[in-house]
Amino acid sequence: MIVEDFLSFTDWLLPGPAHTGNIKIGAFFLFWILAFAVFIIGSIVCYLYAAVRHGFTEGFYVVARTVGGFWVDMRHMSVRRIWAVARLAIQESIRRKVVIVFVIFMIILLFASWFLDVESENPAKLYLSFVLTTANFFVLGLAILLATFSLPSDIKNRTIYSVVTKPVRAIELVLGRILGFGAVGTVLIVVMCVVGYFFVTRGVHHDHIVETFSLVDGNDGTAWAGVTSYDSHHSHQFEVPVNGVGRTDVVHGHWHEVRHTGGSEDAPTFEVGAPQDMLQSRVPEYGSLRFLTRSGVAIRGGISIGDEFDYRSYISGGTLSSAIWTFSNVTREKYQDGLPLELGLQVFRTNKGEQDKGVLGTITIQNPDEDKGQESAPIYFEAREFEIDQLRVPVELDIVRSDGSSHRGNLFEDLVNDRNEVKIKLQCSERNQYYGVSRADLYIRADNTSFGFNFIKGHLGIWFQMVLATCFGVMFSTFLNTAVSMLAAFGSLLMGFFSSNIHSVLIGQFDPIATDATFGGGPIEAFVRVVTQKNVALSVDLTLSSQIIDKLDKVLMIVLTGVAKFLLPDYRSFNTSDYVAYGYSIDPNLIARHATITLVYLLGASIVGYFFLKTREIAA
Amino acid sequence: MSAEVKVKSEPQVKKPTDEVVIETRNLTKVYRDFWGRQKVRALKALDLEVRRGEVFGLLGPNGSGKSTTIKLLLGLLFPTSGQALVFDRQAQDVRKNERIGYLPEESYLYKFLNAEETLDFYGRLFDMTTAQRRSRIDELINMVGLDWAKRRQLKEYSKGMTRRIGLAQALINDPELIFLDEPTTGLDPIGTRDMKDLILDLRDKGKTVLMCSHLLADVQDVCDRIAILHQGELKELGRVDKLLTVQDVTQIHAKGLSESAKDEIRQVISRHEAELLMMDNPTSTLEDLFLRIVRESEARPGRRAQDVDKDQEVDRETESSNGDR
Repeated sequence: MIVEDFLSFTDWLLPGPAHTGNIKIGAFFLFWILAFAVFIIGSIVCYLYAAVRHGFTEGFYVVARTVGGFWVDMRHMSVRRIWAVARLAIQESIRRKVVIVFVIFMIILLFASWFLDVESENPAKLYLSFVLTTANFFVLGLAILLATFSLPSDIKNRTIYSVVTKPVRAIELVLGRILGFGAVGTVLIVVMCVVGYFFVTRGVHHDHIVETFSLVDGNDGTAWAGVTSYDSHHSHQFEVPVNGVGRTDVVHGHWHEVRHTGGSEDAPTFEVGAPQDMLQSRVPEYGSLRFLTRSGVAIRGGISIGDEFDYRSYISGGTLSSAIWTFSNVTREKYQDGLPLELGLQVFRTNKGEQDKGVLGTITIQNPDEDKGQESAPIYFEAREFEIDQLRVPVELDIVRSDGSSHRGNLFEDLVNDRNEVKIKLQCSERNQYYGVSRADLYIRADNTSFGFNFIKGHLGIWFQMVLATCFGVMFSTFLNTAVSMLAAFGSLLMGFFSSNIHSVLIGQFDPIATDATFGGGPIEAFVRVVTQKNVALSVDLTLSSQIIDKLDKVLMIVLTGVAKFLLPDYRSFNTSDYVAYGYSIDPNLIARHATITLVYLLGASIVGYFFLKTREIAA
Repeated sequence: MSAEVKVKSEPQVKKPTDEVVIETRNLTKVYRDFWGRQKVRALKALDLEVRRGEVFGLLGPNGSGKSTTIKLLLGLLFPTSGQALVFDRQAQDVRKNERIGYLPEESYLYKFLNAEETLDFYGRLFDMTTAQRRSRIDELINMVGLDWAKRRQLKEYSKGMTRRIGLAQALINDPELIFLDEPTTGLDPIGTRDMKDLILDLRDKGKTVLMCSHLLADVQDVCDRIAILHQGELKELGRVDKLLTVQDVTQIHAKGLSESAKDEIRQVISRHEAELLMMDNPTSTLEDLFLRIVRESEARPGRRAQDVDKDQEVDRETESSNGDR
């Protein structure tokens, strides 16, 4: 799974070196800067509009009165009124039967896919992605429909007349609606969560029976070995020891317990249990990553193997080239049975090698304190592509000193330093083969949490998106009519989903290699190029007009990138379905961050909606 | 409606005071199109004052600016120039809404709510507590006579019923000032009479009522003062009785006069060199007849109204007692 952001909540909120990119001031200060900028720009635009309508001095008073009125209205805000509007929104959604139709539709869809036959290496991931993505899109669609229809239809039917002539404040109308539709969406998500849970657990469940077995006289105590039946597009091999309780190998990410249940000596009977570890929620502990070059010099990134997804960089086999992770918080209390490592490496082969075998590599545990100069003897493993390799570093292991002498030592005493840090060095052993690694590709599996809880957390991600979509829908509906506000809300949703793409298009980053170059200029220059049929590779003649265009473009680009990057919510970052689908517990830090962003957008949308509704001639 | 009974039992009738509750100064509204071009000049420099405790009528043909005035006073529209003040506050100020009630032209209510839910919703908007809402809702539903239909969704309501519930929502906060936009439109004669009685009842309780209508008879019946608008301009303003009194004509109603007595009166008139314009038996209005028949039928279901003459006597008595109020 791709993880690019490892910030804790406080790191994210406050300024510090942990931030990637140019802006290192942290979310809190960024918010205030943006809020201030939006306030200033908004005030100027509003003043200009008011000046055109009322004249320069009167315009100023109109704007000042409106802004001042906001504080008066805030003081008179009443929870009872907000709740009244919210209740109305809920009743509206229920009585108009929109929600019921949607729920029925969704349930039918989910149940229909029960009968999908999944032939996949990782059926759990497929089911989970399906359920979460379906839920996500349905809920977002419904949220936008509900949110954008309500206020414009009230204005159109003039039902709003008898509402706004009551002491209800515009902010209460906006907040109440967001709250009401949010509540409807919440109920919907809960329903989908429950239905989805049963759908997934039932979907991945399957049974095997023992097909063939033979009596083995294994030295390790194995009594029987055999093969299970071929069900759900796979079969397992299993071994059962003398005590009668064995297990199968791991196929499609799961295994079964195999129990000797009796029978005669010649015809023993076995029972194969339910699939295990199919739906899991691993808590990974990530380290920080550094590389060594082929000659063993420390470097930030690894080797580039060409025009590839730059998320991973590579280390080459059979050289000193290596990837070194430094983990902190490694204590004896946490890892009594040794360090459970998991690796999801990418393998880049320059020769075919043995096709059905993985590429060999080693892991070495190092003491981060250079002066100790101690490391473990290399632990060999075989990296298989597209699967998570599991390794356990034992507590008792062979330690090699810098002078080459070795002794039997203890992980926590010899390799973990006083600050509870440890280094793990990964190398590829096969010449001319490469490992592709990213920071998240090797981690300590610190804990396992309940899958059901993680599934709920995944739906929390959908919930945040639903609230955001509702906020934007209601905000747009305060000044646009039904159709246009729906378009605007869907537009903001799309732009929010593709905000990173839009951002890269805006700064002309469509060529992944030439990351800094801006081709074809900004919007005006691009338009001129289209009209004059000048392709992006040709440079523009340096004339006065082209310079003016260039300057205007720069301003436009700042505005556009600002909107794309800072004002629209990045819906995709809220999508935590990958965590659930790949079986990783969703980090509470991430949830806290999403909750904060959602809250900020809720407030922002309410305030913007307030001003639009307040300054709108309802009866016009 | 039970309001009628209440009116009669109300001993104290509050008289209009000099306190101005509605004031418009040079109030002008110009409707513009998307490009800011002037489309209609709906209201031209209106100056009005409505005092506490009076029933004020805005009269005029369709498109004369009555509804625009009311919407400007409610803050549903913003003035192009001039000022609209309600309780000395700008009309756009939400705080004035605490003390006003508004019955829109057509009762624009949420069709998916029932009567109780509707009133409950509006009650909540006034920040009323559950107990306050409960008693007020019962009272109002009872007053507008919708007890039997309070659990039905408004989409099943007839026009008259919707109007009644609309009125109830306008009175939920026991307002000091009530805006009524075409209050009698769409009501049957009984509903119209009930509405008029209610307006008078409100006036007697010291409330101020601003209504607009093009049904002249209704305005004449209930309004203390009227303003006549035409094409957005104020054409006439004053007390109804003064505006309508024909100063040089005298009206005498008498009962039980014999033919000879009538002749004598004719002679008296001619002796004083006055001109007799009319002397005959009055006819009842159709409204009176209709109301009487309906009441009759309610009292004795299944019978056709009889003894018209006899009943008429009774009715005239009721009429005169009504007129006394």
